[in-house]
Amino acid sequence: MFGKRLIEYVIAFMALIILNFVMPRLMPGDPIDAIYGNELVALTPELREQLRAQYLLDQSIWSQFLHYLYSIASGDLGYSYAGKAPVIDIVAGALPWTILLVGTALFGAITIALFLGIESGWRRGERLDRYLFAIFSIINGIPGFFIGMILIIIFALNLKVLPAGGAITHYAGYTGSEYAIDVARHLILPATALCVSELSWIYLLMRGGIISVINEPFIKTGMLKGLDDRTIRYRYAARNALLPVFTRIGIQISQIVAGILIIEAVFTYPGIGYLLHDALLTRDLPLIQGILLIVTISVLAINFTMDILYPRIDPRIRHV
Amino acid sequence: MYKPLILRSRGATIGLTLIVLIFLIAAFAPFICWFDPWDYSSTPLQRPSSVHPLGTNAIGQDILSELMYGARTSLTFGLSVSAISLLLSVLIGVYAGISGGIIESILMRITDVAIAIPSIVVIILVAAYLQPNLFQLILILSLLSWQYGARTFYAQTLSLKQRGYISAARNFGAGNGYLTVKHLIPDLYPIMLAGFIIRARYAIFMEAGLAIIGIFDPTTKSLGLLMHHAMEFAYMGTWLWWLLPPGILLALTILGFSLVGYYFEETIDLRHRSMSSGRF
Amino acid sequence: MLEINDLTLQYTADFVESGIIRVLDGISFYLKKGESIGIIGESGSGKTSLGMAVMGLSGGEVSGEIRFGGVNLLDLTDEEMRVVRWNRISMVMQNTGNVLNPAYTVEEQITEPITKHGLDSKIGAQERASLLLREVGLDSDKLNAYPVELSGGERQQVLIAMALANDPELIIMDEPTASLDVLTRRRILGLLDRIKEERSLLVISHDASTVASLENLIVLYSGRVMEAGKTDLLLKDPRHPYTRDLLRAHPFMDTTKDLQGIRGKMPTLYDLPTGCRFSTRCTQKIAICEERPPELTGCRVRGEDGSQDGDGGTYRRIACHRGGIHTLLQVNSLNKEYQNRSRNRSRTVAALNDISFELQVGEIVALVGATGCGKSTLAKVVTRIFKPDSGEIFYDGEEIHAIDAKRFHKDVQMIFQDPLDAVNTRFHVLKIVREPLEIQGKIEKQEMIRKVKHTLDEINLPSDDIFLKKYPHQLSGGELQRVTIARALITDPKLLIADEPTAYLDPSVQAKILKLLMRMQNTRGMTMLFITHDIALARKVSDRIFVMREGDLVEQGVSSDVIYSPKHVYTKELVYGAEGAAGYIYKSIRS
Repeated sequence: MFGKRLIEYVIAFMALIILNFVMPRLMPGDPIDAIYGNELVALTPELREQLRAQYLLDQSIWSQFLHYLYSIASGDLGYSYAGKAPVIDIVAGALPWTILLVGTALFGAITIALFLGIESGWRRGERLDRYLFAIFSIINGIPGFFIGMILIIIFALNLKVLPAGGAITHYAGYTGSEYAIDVARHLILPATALCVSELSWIYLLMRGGIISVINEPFIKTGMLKGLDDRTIRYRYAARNALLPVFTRIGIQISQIVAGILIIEAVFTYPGIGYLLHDALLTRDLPLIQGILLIVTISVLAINFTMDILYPRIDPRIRHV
Repeated sequence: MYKPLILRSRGATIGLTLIVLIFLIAAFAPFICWFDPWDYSSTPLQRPSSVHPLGTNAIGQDILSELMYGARTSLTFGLSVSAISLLLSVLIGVYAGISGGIIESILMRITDVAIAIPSIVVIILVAAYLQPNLFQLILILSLLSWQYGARTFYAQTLSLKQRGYISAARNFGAGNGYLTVKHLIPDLYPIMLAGFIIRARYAIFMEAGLAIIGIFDPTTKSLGLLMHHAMEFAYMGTWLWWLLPPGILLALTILGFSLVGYYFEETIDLRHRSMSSGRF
Repeated sequence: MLEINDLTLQYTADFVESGIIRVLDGISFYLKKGESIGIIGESGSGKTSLGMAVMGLSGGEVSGEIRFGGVNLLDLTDEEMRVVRWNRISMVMQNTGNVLNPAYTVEEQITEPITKHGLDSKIGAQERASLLLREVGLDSDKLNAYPVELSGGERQQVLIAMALANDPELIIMDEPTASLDVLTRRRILGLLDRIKEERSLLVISHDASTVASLENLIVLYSGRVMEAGKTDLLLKDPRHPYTRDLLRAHPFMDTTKDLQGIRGKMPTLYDLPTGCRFSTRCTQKIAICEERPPELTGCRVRGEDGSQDGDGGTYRRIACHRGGIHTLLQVNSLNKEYQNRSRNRSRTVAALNDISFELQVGEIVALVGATGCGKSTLAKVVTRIFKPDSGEIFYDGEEIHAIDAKRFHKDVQMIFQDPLDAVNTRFHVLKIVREPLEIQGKIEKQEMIRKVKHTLDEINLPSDDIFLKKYPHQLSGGELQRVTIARALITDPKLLIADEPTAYLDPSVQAKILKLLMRMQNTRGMTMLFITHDIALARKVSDRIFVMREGDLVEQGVSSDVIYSPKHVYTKELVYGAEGAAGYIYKSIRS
């Protein structure tokens, strides 16, 4: 089972590598033009020759590909002439910010969504459930970046209590706890925007899951055993409603990634999403390729981890 | 008086009303607008006035006209992507399900791999190189979002294949083509309809997202592009008439599709639950 | 210990005109400490709701009393009720796929109620769990299994182990043997027998053989108790028409008669009849049955020795306006002699010698005996063709000779051995079949033809004009016998006497005619006296068998008893002498 999944991930990864490799070579003209043509760098004949040699463009397509694979494996993702640094360094500089933002937002979103989803689904039709369901149905209809924009307008532009963008105040020279507070202040708005938009659909999913197990016989068994309400709600209902929720989170990961990239762009938050936004503006293709490769690897890794986790969440999976 | 089922659900009624309203705005944009949205002859960055109810943008285009044409593009984009990717999903899913054997394994393996690939990455990569126009982008996004639907339709086809009336029809000598056209496809209509709504919602959202990242055809007018530009000038206090209207219109569109989508998901879910009690 | 008084459970439902659905209606019974009780009924009769109501988890509006150990459980708060659950009463739910929590191991689920109720530490609970598992006959390595890894039987055993966890005084079991194979089922039933030695047991089942070993039995129908009493009494000699029909539909291992469904459908819970719940399907209903529901009262018991239940329903109570299955025909000390003139001597032969018996509404009784034993004479006496020398015959409480002839023959009809002999060959089908109606009179010609056609349709004969104009010699034996059956049925008789109706037919046609007769008997709810010389045939069609020899009624009893444990020497001869594998098997068992 894992073997089959692993092969799928490997094929998916290879497909993307091949796409990365093929795209510039498919473009009309010299791949060097395709990659560097739009950049602010002047492609001097010397530089062109140097790049041709670097990509082995005079050799066969196979040796080019092998060379490409080799360079990826050794961590060489190319050089960004716009950023004047190796791609891997630029990405490595942005990644921690993304991890901080996504980690905070998704951790918050999942905990709150599961909690509210369980409580709301269990009280189906009661006032609390009706309100929560209505509110989150509407929020789920609003794109996360629009929520972000509204937050910026309210808290940054009008109330001026929180910064509108970035991750730190530049040139302020904060250290220690001041630095931490500064980081947190910058984090609040984008994290809230991301959290709220992911929260809504996970909530709806969890609520639906609870409702679908609520009439299962084992819930009655739990009640017959004289267990308290909370035990039944969490150990019986939620525990068994969780798997479909996690499966869906796995499927939605591409959309979550899209949401992250967009939120970072809106908040000019210096993670890889904003980096990508900048790279797209300047058409810094080596950087774009590098970022996308890192994103792909992360997504595949997360999905694979979840595949390994499923049977722990739900013993039924082991016997399918 | 007869009332269609969908109108008995309050949420779905609101959703349907929203979709119809926005559809009307989009359809009649050329007749309502008194400015060509590409005409940049007005004074830039005007505040709302009786001539420009939502003011003008940084290069002197009428924002209200941009807004209505934007709704048109967003809706076109959403519905086209949805229709094409749905078609692909149904073709691949049903074909794999009904054929069985090697075709089934190959198609479903491809689908599984496609699901594993984060499609947003491929879209950005391809768009970065090709700089596609609106129609190319529709095609690209469609080609990259069929896989989830294909799994659903495949699973549905397999479960329908188990039904008695399919075996009965096979007994009467029906072939795959007949079964697909006469039984499977009609049986899948409700799921297709729900799928269409949900995809349209997703595609409209993606349009805005791609525009904000900066890979949407800049020569068109779309809600996402409008917001993208508006955001750059938000600090000037123009957000009230520049950023908010496209944002709200987009949110209402997506909300409309969501509400109708919930309705279909729920009814289909109920029907399925009544057909089989099992959860998996 | 458990005493239920006038328990009523209803749910509100806005799609019903009355706004309520009554699932249980005035249920009362008690269960003494250490006793066991079974509740049977078709699905939808309210059995499971009853169990859930005792556990306080039925939802809806519950009224009446559920006294357990002197306390009315309905007065307890949720918190107090939670302590009662599993500690004092536990319930084994019906064993469906998801009855155990799929996410936890067997051990976790058995120990859960022990630790959560604070009875023992985790370690102690685990020890108890492994002990319980062995007690119910499972290996303790199943402790670490997840529910999906268990077979249906193992799951049932785990459920029972779980129910024993907190050492409750009463265990309620819902369908403990449903969907189990025979061997597993026997293991579970064995387990129940052991459990009921130590604690009280309430078993809910649609399956009478599951509850057969319990002391008491309650028969539930549409939320009301139809019959209640000692299990062996109820199963052996059901007095309520519903109980009888339910048992008739159940394949006991020793059932000899072909299975028969209960005619009609159970009323839906939101559209209940105002009178007796069973009145829509009952074969003996009278006006009052549709007016008000009968109370559950003590009833007359026909014990083995004919003794009666003296103390007003300790052994059996029944809810029937007619006091249970009604006696349609009662025959007391019938005698009939005739002169046998052989050679020059005339000798008095007793054709019927002090014959007494009863026929109940809706039953098929086979009268078995050799040729010349007097069974045809008996039939003719009962149908007033012959007059008895002495004795009384009561039809529905009236002496038959006091009844108006037309009225009597409208209700009592007969089918004869030789169809060709039994019809006037100059009559065509229409004339033959409508003859009883013409004799009865008071009917229009068109109505008569409609009735004839309807009856022919009912017994799968053509009813077109060509067939109606056919004469007896144009029909096959089977067709002609069907025509005579149609003729007998056309007056809607209550008692049908069939005198060797298949004697003249091929075996294949015979089978069809028998099936037809049984079907008509079931749908019309008639009583049938089936006369035959063939005991193998009798065992397939009858509820009871009477054996006659030379004018004596030597044995009468429930078919399975007569076949499997015949008492009279002559019956034994008949049974063991019967050809075929069965007879051979009995012989080999006996020898």
